[in-house]
Amino acid sequence: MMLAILAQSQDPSFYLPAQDSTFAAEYDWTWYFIYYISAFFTVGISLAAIYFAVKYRRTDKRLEGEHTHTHHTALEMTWTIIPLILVLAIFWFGFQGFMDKATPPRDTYDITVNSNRWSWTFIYPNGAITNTLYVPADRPVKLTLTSEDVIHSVFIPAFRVKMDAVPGRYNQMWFQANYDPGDRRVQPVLDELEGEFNGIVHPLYCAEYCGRRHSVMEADVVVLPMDQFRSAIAQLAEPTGTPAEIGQRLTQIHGCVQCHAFDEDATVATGPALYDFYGMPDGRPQTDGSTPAADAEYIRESILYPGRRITQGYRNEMPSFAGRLSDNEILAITEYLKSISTHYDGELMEYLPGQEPDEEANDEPAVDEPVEEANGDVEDDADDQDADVEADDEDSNEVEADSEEEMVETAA
Amino acid sequence: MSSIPNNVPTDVYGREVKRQPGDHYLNHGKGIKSWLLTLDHKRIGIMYMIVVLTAFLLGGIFALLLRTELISPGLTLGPVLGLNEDETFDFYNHMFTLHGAVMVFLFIIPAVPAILGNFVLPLMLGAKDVAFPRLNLLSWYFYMAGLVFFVWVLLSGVLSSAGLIPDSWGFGLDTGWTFYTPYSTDTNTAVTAAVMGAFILGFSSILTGVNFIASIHMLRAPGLTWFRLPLFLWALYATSIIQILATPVLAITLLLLIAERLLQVGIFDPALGGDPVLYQHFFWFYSHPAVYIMILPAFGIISEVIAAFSRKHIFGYKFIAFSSVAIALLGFIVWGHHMFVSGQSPVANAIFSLLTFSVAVPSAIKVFNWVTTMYKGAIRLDTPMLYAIGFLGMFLIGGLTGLFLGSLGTDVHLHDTYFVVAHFHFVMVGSMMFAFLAGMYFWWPKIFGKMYCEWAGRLGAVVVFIGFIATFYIQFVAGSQGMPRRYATYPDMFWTHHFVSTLGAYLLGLGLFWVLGTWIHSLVKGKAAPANPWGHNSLEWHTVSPPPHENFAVTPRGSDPYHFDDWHYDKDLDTYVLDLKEEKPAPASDAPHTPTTTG
Repeated sequence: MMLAILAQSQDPSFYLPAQDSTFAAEYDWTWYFIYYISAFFTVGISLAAIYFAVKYRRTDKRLEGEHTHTHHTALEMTWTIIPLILVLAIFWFGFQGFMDKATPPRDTYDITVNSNRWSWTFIYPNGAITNTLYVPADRPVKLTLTSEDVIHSVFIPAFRVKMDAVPGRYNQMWFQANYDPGDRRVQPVLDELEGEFNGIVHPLYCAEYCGRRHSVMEADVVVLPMDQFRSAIAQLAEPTGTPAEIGQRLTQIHGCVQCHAFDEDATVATGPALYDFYGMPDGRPQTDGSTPAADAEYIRESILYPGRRITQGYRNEMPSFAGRLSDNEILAITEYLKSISTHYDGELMEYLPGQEPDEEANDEPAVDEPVEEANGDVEDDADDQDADVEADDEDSNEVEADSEEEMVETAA
Repeated sequence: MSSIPNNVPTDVYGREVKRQPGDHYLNHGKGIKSWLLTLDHKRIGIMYMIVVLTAFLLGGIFALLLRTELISPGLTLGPVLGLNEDETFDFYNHMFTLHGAVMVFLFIIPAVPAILGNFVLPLMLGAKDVAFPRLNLLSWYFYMAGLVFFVWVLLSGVLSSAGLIPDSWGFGLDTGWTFYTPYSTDTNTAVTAAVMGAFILGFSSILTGVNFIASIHMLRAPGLTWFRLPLFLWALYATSIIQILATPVLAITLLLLIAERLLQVGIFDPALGGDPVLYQHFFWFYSHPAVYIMILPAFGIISEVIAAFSRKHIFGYKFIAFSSVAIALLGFIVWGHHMFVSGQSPVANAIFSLLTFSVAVPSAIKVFNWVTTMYKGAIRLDTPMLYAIGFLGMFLIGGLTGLFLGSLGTDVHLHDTYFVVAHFHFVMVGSMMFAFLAGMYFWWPKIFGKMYCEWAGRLGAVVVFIGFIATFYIQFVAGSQGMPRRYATYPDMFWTHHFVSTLGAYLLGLGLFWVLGTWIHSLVKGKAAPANPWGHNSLEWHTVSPPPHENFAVTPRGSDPYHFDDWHYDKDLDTYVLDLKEEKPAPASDAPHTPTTTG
């Protein structure tokens, strides 16, 4: 058993999942090291107690136990010192394993993880944004974790890694995923990619309780060979399709679908349903008594300042997306809401401003800049933010600068 | 079976006790007022028993409800109750939170000190009562006030679901018993009420601790030196240190949380310049020592029971006594091991991990000493002893799995999974609850003056043991395979684990109801208990059962509590009686003996 787990195992053992990162083998060795020590003492002491209970059982209540020693200093010292040595050994192995996880190498591929209730958003250096974590195989990957609301925690059992995403600070974690082309778990990845992609999929869970839908705050981790990974990320960085289609994708990426129903089959009801909403004849009554029209302005306000007006029957639970969605993206979402509303029969936009089809394809995509390129060029769409209390966190470019410093500090 | 006629109680010499009105604490005063205003530690112990066991029942019902929801991967119990998906998630979250909060604050922390400690401690000291009887009664009223808040939290959830109160009042509780910010400052549930409840319960805990420390220092009977104290008292003394020093920190933390919720002061909220991890530091600074509040008294019970039923002097008295105090003190400096993946610095992590392992050593010392006590004893497998042996196995597993979690590297994968859930249930339920039940059966004859049905007690112990193992061992496997905590639904790969666990929980529930049945049966039909059915030598066995209002007619003299030589078994009476070479006091009194010096 001990020898067997020194090799990378693609099958789960009784206690532990398959070993799919470079940490796993060493981790499992330490785990089983503690396990065998624990099993030895548990079985040994339990058997001793049971043996004594059977051997010295006396049904005659007149009998007394033998007057043996009531103390024995040498014996006490023995079973003080031996456990002490063992736990120090366990500490040392655990400490080493932890330091490996706490110190990323210099050549990591960096991905930013943004979490909010109850979805994960992964931002890649080239500007791609996904809900599925794509990682290159055999290359160290560093995740920088942030949270928009409460504490979440990235947990990938296959990699033996976990780290909390705490609002107001950047935590980081790293791993290197294994990928064996002959692994029977390799499967075609079709979800949002077009072409030939064969990856291994692992679950990613939220491990820190974060409220109602905590148990479904999952994401897939897709491990791809480096060449496939590069083309996949390049493909994902290009927003494709009509504005309405881009808007639909944005509602998934940013977790809108976690609370709002966008079609009749959706079961979520944390926030009001958004299909058949745009252009509703009278709008929806709000808690302040007003009934604003269901138009682009109301949608924009709800996205940027969700606390201003609350639809009756719902609670103020939505985070602000100011600084996280550009004007173009809000426009795209509005187009999407038009397209799924029976109250709107008008035309839909064919392209977003600045993305006219006759332009060259090297246009900047209308998405947030990657964290790693803190080049400080301020996009136009970052100007429309109110300088309220949360302004610090809103300007993505400021955040980038902070994050670089933070990372240096935490690394030190 | 005894051949004594009319089933009459006997004193320590095996002589019949002539019962008169008001001759023991239960009939010393009549009417509800004589209970609610009593200063008698024994009655306060009984009052605690009633309310704490009620809280235990409540917490158990929540546990069964949440295990039922988890019997299959998707939505299970919710749709049966007519709830949609979101409502089912909410229902589950409220259930696990209430289960945790009620079990921790209302059952585990007060159970042993407030019920058995209150009853037994003055008797063991040979004293008339605790040092501050009025504070003792006040502590019970604090407990009741805290209970009222928790009942309101529960009621508000029910009333709000029925549409009888507005949502803005807060309804139920869904933060987890830990109240982690920023979720707890953000949720619409009745966090403020629950936190106020926990805040008030803290005072109950502090007053109990103050009382115990003062009593042990000041009220020991003549001859009862520190190293003649029963180990249960050493354990309670260590517990009280933690109660006094740690609980105020929780009180401050909870007040800060309320201030954060109501006034937006910005201590924990990052949007206001606070730090959510700071809350975790404050919280665990109390709540880690609190787990030693839960388990240390259990250690004390096990020391008494194993010695009594092995009919042999406890082995390594001083090591057991000092290891209790060592655990209490070391328990204060390990709180950071709850935050290994919160972004705490690696240096702090390493220090906390190292300190955490220091607690393993005194815990190991205790286990070795208990097992060695059984060696060459004259072991009787009565109900308390069965629970004590069960405790040994459970505490071994519960304690040793702590090594996985105290070790930094291994904790990263296991943190916040079912491995943690299984670990602390092995310690809190498998160990603490087993010891509590052992203590209840052990002192039951003394408390109520009635014997329980031995075979039924043993059967209950076996069922509870099997149910417990079935419920929780498999959760280690689920956790190490990656099943996160606090999930209302889960991937199909964990179905088997949860299915087995839920069936085990039903069996455990059944076993505990059986235990309750044996107690009720004893109260109704149990035969009168002698002064000392087990032949133990600590002072509470030197007075009749149930004890008189003043505990002892004559102040007893303390001697070695684990020296059983003066107690001889009397076959006709089916009890142990004092057999002294010297003159016995006049009969019809329940005077304790005054032993010669024992060697």
